[in-house]
Amino acid sequence: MSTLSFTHPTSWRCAACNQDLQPQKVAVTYLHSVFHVELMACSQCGFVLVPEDLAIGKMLEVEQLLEDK
Amino acid sequence: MLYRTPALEQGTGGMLRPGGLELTSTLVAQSGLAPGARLLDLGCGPGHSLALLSDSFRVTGLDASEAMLIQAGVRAAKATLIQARAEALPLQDSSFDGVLAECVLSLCAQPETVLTGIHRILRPGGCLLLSDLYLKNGTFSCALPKEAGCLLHAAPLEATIAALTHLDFEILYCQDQSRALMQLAGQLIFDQGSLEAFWQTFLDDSSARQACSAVRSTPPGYFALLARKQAICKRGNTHDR
Repeated sequence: MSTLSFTHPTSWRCAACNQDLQPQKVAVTYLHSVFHVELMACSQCGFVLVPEDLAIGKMLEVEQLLEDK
Repeated sequence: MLYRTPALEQGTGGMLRPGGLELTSTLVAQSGLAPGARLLDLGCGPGHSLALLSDSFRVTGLDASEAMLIQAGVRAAKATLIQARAEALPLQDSSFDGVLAECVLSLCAQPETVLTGIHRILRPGGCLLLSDLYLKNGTFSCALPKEAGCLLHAAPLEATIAALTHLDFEILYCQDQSRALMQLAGQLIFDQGSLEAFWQTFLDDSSARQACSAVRSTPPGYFALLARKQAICKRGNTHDR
């Protein structure tokens, strides 16, 4: 399955590691479903930046979908 | 037809089918089909399952779409390809050891006709590997647009099992795979932005909202089933050629 990319140049940095964020493949897991996406993350500690529009848009709709009985 | 929409290629890898090839492999493993068995992929689409299975089995892909068969021919060069409708199979009686029908029956306005045809072309003891949408609550509580594809003809699982039993199929395996449907829907949301946006790839805005509302109010499920044609049939073989 192809990886969906949500990476954009960003001025956000990892404060703990003092590193720029880089595109990284991550597995987003919720209620036993796993989605492979590409997000900006710290290459040192793996801290992932989830953009606000992704969190309150697509991710919220996926959560609501998976919570449907 | 929805599964021919290029816009869905990225999010689904070209397979608008819950469970993807992993579910196909599971069903095939459960079937016990021997290497070299004659296997028909009914509604083969662009040939992903054919490509998976063509090294192990003598595969035939059947689809109503010439465009799909052209893609299938590229992916599965060893497969025999036939352009035909599932309701009118141009195949001889008892000519297959197995029939694979993945998310196909729900596209057919006459599923009983399709199942009767499948029964005819299977050898006694042959098996049907079936996966498809099903209605959890009998019917959609809201009307569906007429272009809603496989949702229009999705049936309660009990009705499909009853139809198979009536045709002298023995149900060997039946498993709910609704989680795979949720997974696919989630991928479509990540790819398209929302489920309504997904429907808008092939429906007008009003129909997309209608489809979205119907599915949200009555979420369908997905099942995988393995059925064996009885080796000795209770009734005589009556069929149309």
